[in-house]
Amino acid sequence: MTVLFPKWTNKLPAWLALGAAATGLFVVLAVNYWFSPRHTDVGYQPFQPIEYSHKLHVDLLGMDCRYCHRNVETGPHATVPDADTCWGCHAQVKKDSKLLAELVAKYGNGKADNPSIEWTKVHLLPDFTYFDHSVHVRANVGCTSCHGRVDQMEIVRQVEPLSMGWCLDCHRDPAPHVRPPGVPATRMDWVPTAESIAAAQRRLEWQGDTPPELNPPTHCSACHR
Amino acid sequence: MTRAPTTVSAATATTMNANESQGTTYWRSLGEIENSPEFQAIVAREFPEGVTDAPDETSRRGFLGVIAASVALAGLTSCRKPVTKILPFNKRPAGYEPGVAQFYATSIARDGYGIGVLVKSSDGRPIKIEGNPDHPSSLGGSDLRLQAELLQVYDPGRSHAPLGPSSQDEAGGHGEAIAPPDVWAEFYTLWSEQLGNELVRLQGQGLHVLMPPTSSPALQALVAKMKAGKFPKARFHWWTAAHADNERSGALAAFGRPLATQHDFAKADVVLSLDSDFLATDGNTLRNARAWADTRREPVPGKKLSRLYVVEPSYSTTGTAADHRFRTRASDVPAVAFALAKALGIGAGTDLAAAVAAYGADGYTRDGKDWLAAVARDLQAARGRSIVIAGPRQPAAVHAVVHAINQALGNVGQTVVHTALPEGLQGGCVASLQELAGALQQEGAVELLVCLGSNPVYDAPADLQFAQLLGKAKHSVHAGAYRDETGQLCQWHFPLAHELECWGDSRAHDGTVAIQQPLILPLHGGVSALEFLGFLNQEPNWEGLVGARDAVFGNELVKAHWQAASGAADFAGAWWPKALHDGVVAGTRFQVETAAPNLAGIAAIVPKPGAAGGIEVGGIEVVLRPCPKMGDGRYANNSWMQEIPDPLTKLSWDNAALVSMATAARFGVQNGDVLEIAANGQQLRIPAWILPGHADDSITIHLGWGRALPERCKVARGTGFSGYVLRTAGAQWVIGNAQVGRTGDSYPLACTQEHGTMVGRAIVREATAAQNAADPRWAPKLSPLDKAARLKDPQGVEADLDQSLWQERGYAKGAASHDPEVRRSPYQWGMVVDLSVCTGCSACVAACVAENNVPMVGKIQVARNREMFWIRADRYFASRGAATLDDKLALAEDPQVANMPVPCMQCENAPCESVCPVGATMHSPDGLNDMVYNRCIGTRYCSNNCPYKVRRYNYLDYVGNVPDTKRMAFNPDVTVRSRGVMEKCTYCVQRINGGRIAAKLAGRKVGDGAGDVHVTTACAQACPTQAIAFGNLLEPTSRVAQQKALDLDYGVLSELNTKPRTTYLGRVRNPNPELL
Repeated sequence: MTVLFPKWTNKLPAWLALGAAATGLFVVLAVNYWFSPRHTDVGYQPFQPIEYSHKLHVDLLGMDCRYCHRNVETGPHATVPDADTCWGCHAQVKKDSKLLAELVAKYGNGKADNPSIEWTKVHLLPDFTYFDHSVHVRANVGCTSCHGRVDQMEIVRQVEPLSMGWCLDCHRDPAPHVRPPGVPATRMDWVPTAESIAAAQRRLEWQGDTPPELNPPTHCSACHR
Repeated sequence: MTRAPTTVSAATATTMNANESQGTTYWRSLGEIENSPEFQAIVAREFPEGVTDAPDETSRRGFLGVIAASVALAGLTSCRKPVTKILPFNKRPAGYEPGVAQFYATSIARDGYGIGVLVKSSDGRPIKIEGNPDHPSSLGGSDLRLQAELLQVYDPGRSHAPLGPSSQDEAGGHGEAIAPPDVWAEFYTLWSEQLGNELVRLQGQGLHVLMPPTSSPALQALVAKMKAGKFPKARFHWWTAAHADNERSGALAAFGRPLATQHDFAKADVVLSLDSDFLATDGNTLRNARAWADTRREPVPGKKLSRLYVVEPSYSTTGTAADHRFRTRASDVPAVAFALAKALGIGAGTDLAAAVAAYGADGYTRDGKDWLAAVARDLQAARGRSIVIAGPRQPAAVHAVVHAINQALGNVGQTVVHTALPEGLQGGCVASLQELAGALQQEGAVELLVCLGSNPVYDAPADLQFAQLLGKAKHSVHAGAYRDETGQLCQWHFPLAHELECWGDSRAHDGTVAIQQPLILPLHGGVSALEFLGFLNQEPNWEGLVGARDAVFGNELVKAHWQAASGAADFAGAWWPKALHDGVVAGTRFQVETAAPNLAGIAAIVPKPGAAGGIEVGGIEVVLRPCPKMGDGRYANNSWMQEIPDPLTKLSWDNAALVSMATAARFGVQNGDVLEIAANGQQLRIPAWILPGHADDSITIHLGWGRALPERCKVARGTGFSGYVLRTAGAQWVIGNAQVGRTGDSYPLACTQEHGTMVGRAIVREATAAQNAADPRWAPKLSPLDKAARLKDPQGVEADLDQSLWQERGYAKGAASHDPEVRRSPYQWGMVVDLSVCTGCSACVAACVAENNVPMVGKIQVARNREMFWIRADRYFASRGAATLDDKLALAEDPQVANMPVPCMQCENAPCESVCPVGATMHSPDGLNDMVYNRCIGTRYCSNNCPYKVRRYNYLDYVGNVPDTKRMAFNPDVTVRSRGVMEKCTYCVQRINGGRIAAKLAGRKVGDGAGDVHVTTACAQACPTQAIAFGNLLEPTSRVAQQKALDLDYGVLSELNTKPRTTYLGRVRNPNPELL
């Protein structure tokens, strides 16, 4: 007589349960990775109206970030330079290059009321998040900590997730990202050393009666208001 | 109905339910006294009825549309974030930094005078108005209407385009056609080729200009130039509905010339206001409020307090500040003034003494005590340190007699000084308007009528019938911010630029000049009144106005005037930049004039008792007052002014006929029942509203409501009732012998007075100066917890009674806290509100709305208790308790008022935080109760658990359909909240963070010290009396820390151990012991 349920079916419920659990775990992990900024945002590299090469300007020509992003030390926005800043050099240098056609078209005649060059924003925070560049530069957090080695990029791309958890990671343990005085925030090839981390750690703690020099906030209203 | 001033008995008020005690009861509405079923229902419900209902019936089509949109959005959000563009300037203007706000000093006109302001400009948009601390008419404070000016700029109802005879639309004046772009060119052609030449040939005969009176020196100089030059026979008429004709006539009678009177309340020990709301609506209010408050703030025992008596018909902001208030019909106030003159023996042996002798000084009794005699004695005792002030609604004779009283009391030169009146404010408005009406009545006499910012069809006396007269002018031009009632009837209409869009100048009440500079180009191609006159007079470059309304012409006019008038050696390099930067021109104050009142001249205008002349009026009187929110009506399309509750009535979106309980009973009406008022052949239907403390047989109507603005002015349509229809040239403020009847109709009014009631708990706390001296800790002792503590330890609060079951974070301990985050925080934010100087003016509410993008929700939603204000100005009536309801109601006819602004308490042990299931409200280490909108899922548990009811929930999407122009008013530093999100006061965390960042960049700290970065909240900044102190509790020298250390400091419901960061200083009244 044939058995309606062979013996192996005894283990079927267990296998099904295991499978369901595995599927569930996979879904959780999948959402956790593929739906998170680590996947959706990192690597974002839009084309810009002008093929501006940071590698050329920063790495080969040695320009400082602040020559163009001139409000990074004083305001919330680092600011994309106005066309006049580009024109300061390019009125003389490579004026006839095809790559500069957009700049010449918008500003070549020196008219300030032409339409602006439409750059595409790469590092985009949500509207309910208020980030301020100046105070981070003041604490001497390097540009590379959030933006990566921009000096090596032909086209700028996002290298960090810029998610809340990622921000908090640094705010809870900023020592590896805080540079010692004397190392400019704009230096691209700096890497933290054991000494620099120890020095930063001291600035994060009370020194006798002196309150900590660095006090990265982790409460909600630091960024959300 | 008379009674003695309220006294708080500490012993009785400590009970949880003070309403049941025989001491003072505090109540917000008559319904609360009666404990009516409606009131019980409000108290009993967790959320008011209907809060979960949608605003209107949602149609099937609308529902499907919403669903479709949601699905579409859901699909989109699965992609990456939207692509955002950055558009840098091609050439960035010097000094401009994206995202960094800048402040510019300018001035905004109020009743012809300039009030200096600092306007915050963010990325080219003005987003917040604050008072200029250096300007004598502001001193840094502001009020409801000054805050509202911001929204006026962005009002989508503003006139968008000029209209000429050829572009009149077909809709009978309503609605606005798309104007052909060449109206300016058409008018230019008319003026330059035909009308202008004709008028020059006639020397201006037939040219009539109607404007609000203004102190602007440049404009007055241009008018003088036109009169002396091309148009000597032109007539300039000055009209504003909120005029000071009576004040001016009184000064003329007393001194023979128009003089201004300046009061220094900071030096006054005793003040008597005769129907003058000098703290909020009448005259130099911001300066008055600051000066008065300086004599009352932080009333620790031993501090000398001033005393304020107010005689008025209807509760005003000043009335709420009074130590003794005597409710008196407006038409009976003159008799009080004359009787006081008699009691003081003014001008003994002169005609004046004879004239006032007829007024009996008897009969002014309350609780069997002669209050008039007591006031007279108090004034006598404070010779040289007192002020008597009369309001603009009182007739000239009262003002003249008050001049004599102040002179006799030795106040002149001490607390009261006389100065010149600015040139443009010397004329009488009613006479000037009557002259224009007379000219219009003559056929063909008016060739061209120019209404520059005037709206006589709406606000002129009804008996002049301007709507009919306007058609008799051959050409009529209207320039106004709106295509208003007058604009719809004129042949030409031009948009008028807002004061934040154009150049100008002004004088403060003391004469100080301020230059008005634009913050933004005219949004709708408007011109200023100065530019329009300059155009008519063909000033240099006048044709430029035809091509572009870019404020350049006005700049040239103002500059040219001051280049000549200043006589500065280096005008362009030094004088002008300094004037713009400072917002005031130093050394331009008026000199003090010495003038002795002419008693015979005063006696001549004092009427006999019962005589005609607009003083004695019989029967029911109707009192017209400029609205604290609408002014003369100019803010009618301003949703902030519509929705912020009236400081006294707490009515939102409407005005009403304010009456006393007895008068309402006489008419047989309840709140909202429509009355028909007939006077002077005019009729008005308006709902009644019972305002406790109102004089009997008197009706008060706030002017400025019931506008007939064009279709696009959606906010103003259908709100309120215009009192102007009752107003005549002869009876400007007080109308006697009104016939009043009940119509039987009822009108729904939205009132917030019962929202968030304290149901008898000792939330607002008051004492007299004597009680304060006897027991300096009376205020905190009213807390039940404190009472228990005293039983255990008579010396003070026993600390262990404040202990929680769990370990607290120890915010108050600062660096000694066990919590590492708290320990690191150099700041602990706190706030103290000094109830002794809070006048309930609601400037804080308006400032908060402007600063924090607080949405307006509309009348229906307000009626459902869905208003969104982060700070509310609670108004409590206070009357003695009584055994029976009838006695309670009888005492409630003449209550005192206590005001209390209520922001978030930022409790250290916040009840809201422990019930949020998603951690959307958390505590920051610097003591803020943070609200995280992007986490909130809208359970409303937090609001339910908040004992102070300061959390506000976005039941609907209030910002989704905000017009683009209004979006420009949003503060970019504050998140705009969407539907389903809870929100609340954050102590202006954007300002705190901005200050902390600025301090870090400068290597300094945030604090009150000289070298510190100063941070304050919007409400504290705006408060004209500086009743609100905000700062760092860890800084012992900060104002807030010092106030917290005072004995008067108490926390509301501190018995719940919420440890509120916002605390209050108990209010100390300074009643006259004779009248207790």
